[in-house]
Amino acid sequence: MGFPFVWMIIGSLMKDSQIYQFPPDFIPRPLILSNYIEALHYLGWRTFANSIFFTFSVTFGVIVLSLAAGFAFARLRIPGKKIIFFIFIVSILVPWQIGLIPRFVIVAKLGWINTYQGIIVPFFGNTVLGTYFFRNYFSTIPDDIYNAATIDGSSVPGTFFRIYLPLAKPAISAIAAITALNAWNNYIWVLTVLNTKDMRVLTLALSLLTAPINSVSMGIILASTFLSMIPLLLVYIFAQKWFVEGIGSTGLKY
Amino acid sequence: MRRFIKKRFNLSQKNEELFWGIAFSAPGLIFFTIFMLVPIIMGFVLSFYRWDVIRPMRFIGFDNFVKIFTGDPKMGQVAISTVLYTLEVIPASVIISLIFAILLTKIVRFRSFFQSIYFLPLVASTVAISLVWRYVYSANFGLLNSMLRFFLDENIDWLQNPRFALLAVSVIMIWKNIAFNIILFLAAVRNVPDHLYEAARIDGCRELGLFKYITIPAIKPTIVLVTILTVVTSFYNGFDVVRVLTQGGPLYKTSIYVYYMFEQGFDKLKIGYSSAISFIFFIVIAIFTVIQLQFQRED
Repeated sequence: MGFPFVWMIIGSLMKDSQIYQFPPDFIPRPLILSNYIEALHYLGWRTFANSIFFTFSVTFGVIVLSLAAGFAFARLRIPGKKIIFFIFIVSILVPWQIGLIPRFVIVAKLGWINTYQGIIVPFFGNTVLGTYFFRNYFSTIPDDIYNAATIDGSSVPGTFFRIYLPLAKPAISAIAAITALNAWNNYIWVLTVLNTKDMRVLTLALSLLTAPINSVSMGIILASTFLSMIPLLLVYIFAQKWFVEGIGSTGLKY
Repeated sequence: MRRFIKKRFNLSQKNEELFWGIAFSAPGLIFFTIFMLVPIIMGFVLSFYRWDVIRPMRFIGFDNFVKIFTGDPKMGQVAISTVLYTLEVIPASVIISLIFAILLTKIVRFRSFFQSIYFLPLVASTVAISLVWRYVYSANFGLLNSMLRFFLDENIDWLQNPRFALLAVSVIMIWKNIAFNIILFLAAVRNVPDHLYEAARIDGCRELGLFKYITIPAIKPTIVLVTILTVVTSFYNGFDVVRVLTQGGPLYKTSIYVYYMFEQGFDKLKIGYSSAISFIFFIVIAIFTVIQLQFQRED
């Protein structure tokens, strides 16, 4: 299962001549780091920065919006709540492709092509999963707590910030992890909106490595690929517990 | 602030909840409407037009749909590729991950280590793993060929060969799906109440029977969920793989619906036609999902 990864790391430390040996050799002789240096040079700091900024902004925005909406659906009154919720759920079934071009048109009309807001803001529309998840989560908090707080004179937003929000930390990690993952690895949307080198994100830079098939050394490709995964791997290692619980629990409501 | 609002609107507790209900949910709903709902509706509408971004739009009614079914010679291949892709990816992704999940529950030692390994493909971007797999599939230097050396006469370029290209792409997708599905199945299997197993054991049920009569029925809703999710993500991510590795070729053999739709829309600038393709696709998926949910409801 993990073999491609192992091979990727090994390969990135080898000279190309060794990678292409047939049958393949699995120990780097000599072990070189030049692939990584070239990869960094090729990818550039800007690319990493763009990806990080993009992922962070999207995650932040989606969390804030979903938290608020989830709380509202769970605890507050909204006109037409049931209908809205129904539309929410149904929208998941629609394959995203349908919206791709119109979304592009909207972004173009706003003058956001090839801008940060162009890639980030449309993601704020992806609050369905988060809202649904937070709503379920908040529903499990007993009414009594809410009522007690209200009797004690707390306002609605006050109750939210002081009681519900702190309790939601595990749920927030789960949704944040999923959203960050999707943003970091997103390819098709950034491909659609961005078109200059300085705006590029990692997934785009990686895909360009394959354009002229054999002119970029395989070692550099592997090194770049691994580099693109490192930030996410780091986050994953630290957040693994929440991550697995989070994704697992979304399937548990049955 | 709160007292101000209360006095201003003379609000009772109930109405205060209404006010905040709207206030809290509005931002999310607004973004959802603008960037999700409107594009979806627009998408459907666009399929009735001809548009190439440069010239103005022209209403052409059902022409795009007619073209899909009769006028486009490549559409047949696209449909075949899509069906094959679906048949290759979905069952394998679900079944293999189920098996792995069950195996994982039996292995007590090093469990979190194995769990991490299985989870890894999920963290990597589809673009990244496509690049790595490209090497595996390479004709003269590929890992796969070197391992099959004893069975093959000549080296096969898996991604360029019309017979195998789609299969190659499918395998990558299955590999990625398994990672995610295992997590869901693990959670589901772990949640089956012990007393069900005990009752069955008392009745004399043995290991394989336990699996068949308790485990599977108990996690059926999860199986449905996993299947739906697999379908959705396979088409979403499948695009990435095809774009990076084969660009729909060779001979359109790997042009699954998703990819063809993008290609027509953005490479060939036939936006109306592209939208019509997505529309049809949506209907197919919707029917499929409804059938899936009916299947679940029967329990």
